[in-house]
Amino acid sequence: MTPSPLVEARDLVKEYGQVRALDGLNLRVNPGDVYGLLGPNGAGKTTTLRILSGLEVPTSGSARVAGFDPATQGVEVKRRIGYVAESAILYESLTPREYFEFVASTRQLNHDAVAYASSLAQAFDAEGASYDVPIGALSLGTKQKVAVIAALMHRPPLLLLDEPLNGLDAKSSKILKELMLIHVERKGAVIFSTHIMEVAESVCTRIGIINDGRLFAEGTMGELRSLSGTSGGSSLEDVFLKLTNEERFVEETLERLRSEGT
Amino acid sequence: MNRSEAWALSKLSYAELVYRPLLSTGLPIKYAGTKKSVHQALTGATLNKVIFAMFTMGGAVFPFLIYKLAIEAISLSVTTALSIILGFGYLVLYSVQVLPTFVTSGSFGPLAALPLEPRERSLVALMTLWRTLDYILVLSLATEFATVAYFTGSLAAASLVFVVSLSSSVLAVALAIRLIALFQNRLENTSTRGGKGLASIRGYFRPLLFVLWGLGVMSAVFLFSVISALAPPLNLVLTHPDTPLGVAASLIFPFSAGLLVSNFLGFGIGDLSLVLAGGGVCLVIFGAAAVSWGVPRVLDRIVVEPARRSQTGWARGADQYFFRVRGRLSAYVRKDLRVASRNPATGFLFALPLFEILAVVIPVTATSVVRVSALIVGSQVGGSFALFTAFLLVTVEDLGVERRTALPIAASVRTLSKVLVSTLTYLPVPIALSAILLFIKPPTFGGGIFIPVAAVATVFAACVIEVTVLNTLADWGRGTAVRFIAGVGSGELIMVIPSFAFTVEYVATHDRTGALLVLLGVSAVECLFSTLVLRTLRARGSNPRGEGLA
Repeated sequence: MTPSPLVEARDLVKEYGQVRALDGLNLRVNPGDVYGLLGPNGAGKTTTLRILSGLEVPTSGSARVAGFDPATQGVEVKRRIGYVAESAILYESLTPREYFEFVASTRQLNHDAVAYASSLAQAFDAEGASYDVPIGALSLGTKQKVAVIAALMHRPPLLLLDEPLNGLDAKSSKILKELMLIHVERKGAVIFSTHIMEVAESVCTRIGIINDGRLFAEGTMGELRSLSGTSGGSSLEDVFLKLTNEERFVEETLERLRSEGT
Repeated sequence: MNRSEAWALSKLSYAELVYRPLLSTGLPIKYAGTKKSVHQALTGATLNKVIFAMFTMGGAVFPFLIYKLAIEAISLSVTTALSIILGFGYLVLYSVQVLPTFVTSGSFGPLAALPLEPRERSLVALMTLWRTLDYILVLSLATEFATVAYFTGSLAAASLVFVVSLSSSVLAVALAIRLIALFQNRLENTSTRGGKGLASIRGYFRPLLFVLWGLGVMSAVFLFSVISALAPPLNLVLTHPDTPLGVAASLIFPFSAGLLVSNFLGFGIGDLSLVLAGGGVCLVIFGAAAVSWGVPRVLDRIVVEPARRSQTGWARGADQYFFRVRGRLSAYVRKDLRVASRNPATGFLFALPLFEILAVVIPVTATSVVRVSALIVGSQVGGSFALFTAFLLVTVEDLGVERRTALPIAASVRTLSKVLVSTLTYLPVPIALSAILLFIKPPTFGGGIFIPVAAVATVFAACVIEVTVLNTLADWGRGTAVRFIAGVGSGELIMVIPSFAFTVEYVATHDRTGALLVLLGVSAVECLFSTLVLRTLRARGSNPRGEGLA
């Protein structure tokens, strides 16, 4: 029996004035999936995640997240997701402790969840003393850690992570990747966008390649390889460039730069 | 780089300065994603500047109108001084609101990366500063000059006031930059020292900011009340230069300028006052010149040195990561209070109760008996403070994070939190008025004591409507000026309705008790209506159609 999907999007279209960011996107993510959303800059990855998290309304099309429509049932959706934005959206005048207190209170976390959140905070960093410093004064990476912890602390069924490894150090990146895997082992799901192909290759159970607002290739790594006609040993980067028709462009550009360099 | 090149570069920096905060607030703009959106943002910024310039122009003219129409016994010295100080206050108020983006939005990031000499960067930054304040400075200085020339007929007096106002404007901008830098430095120092955060802002700074903002708000809303209350004692002080207080007042800017204008027009102020006032004015002009010399350096530092970032970790023991979970509304109110107290543009909110009491009590106690009309006006005055608080809470809330966060917060909680904080700032008014009526000066009508108390319900309702209108207009992508006029205007309308009903009933029946009952009834209906609005918001949840597109 096919499990009921945690995310199902149909014919999503999003227009910003004259610009069409999404052009009939379809998406289905089941419990247990780590779904990697890959695509060139401006392909529509962030817009997709923002629509799924209830922060934007599609121009047309529909979406269901954990059984709720993010466009009309935003609170219900937000209760069931953890969202990390491309650039951390935080109250910069609050300290991490105050911000976590605020997030935990709005989510009405119980004692166990607070203990889990404290463990997360400790796991991501335990050496200094900036837990009581305004977020605005923290480095980009530390801000990202705050955003990640705030998204994970209530152990939601669905994680929507937009470039979550931005600015994170190696240790924190490793912890986050492992947490994503633990999350899907517990029948949660993760959708995350990234430009780091190695990460997508090592973590994702399924990968969707998005370009010009459309999902034009989707599947496991093996399925994508066969779809692109690349060899078994090809990296995701090769597959991606092949599928987005950018392989030839990259080769020609590099050739020209080499000749200009000499 | 020559001046025209710097001027062209400053246009880019200014566009960044205007556009970046708009993007980060997540407020939709009509032509988002196109070049027109930048044009639209710049047009909106110009509109904001023009509207604010009208405030400063009004502040320059109003004291002279009172002087000319002899509404209050006010001398020319005090008139001139008040006109200048209002312009100063407004400019600081505006600068503190707008200039933080100089420091925080990264608008100068691209400029800092260019291979420019410090002098060139300073020039561009200075020109960007000019673009930020141009309409306000030009219109307020021109108005000051024209007003003094028109009302006094003296070109010399007008020229003197122009020079003094120009110096005062320089000092106002410098003071605003200093205040912002203090906030920013505190943020940076805290991060490097690992202190307790902005919650522990130094005691000496906060009162200063409060006084400054309080003056601005008082002058904006209660100009007449303040002038009528302050003019007589100021007149007295300035006409007695032989007393220590008179000597000090003669020297202090802007009274020194006022005295010099009086002297130009043949009002004898005495040799001592003339010398002291001349000294006071020179001091201000030299001070402004010195500050002008230093401003480019400060601006260059802002451009070149972005805020230092903490590279440290968080805490040591596992127990140190603990935090408390509170009720949703309680947590939201705490968050609103924290964010407001740590923003230079809203820090003064916590001083509002003090200024409210002053602004309400001074006019009420200035009369021999406390009339019902004084109680109604006093309540309206206090309510206006609350509406202003609500506007600020909604507008400068950490660049609109609440509109972009994926937390499950219903619109009703967000609205109610800000309404509660705003209504709380009104509470000192009924308490102060009740204390006056019970212990100091009984009202002409015993039931009058219920008027400021009933106004609590009206203020609550007015804030609910105001915040709802502000949020709705933000959803529609309207600019700050439009939101201010429509939001505060709708709140004021709700505030006025019970008083209007009281007046109509009293004029028709001459029955104060009946009119009071009508007032109480209308207030109750308004409160009920606002509760229904909140329930509607709750039912709507956090639908992004209602929250605003981010």
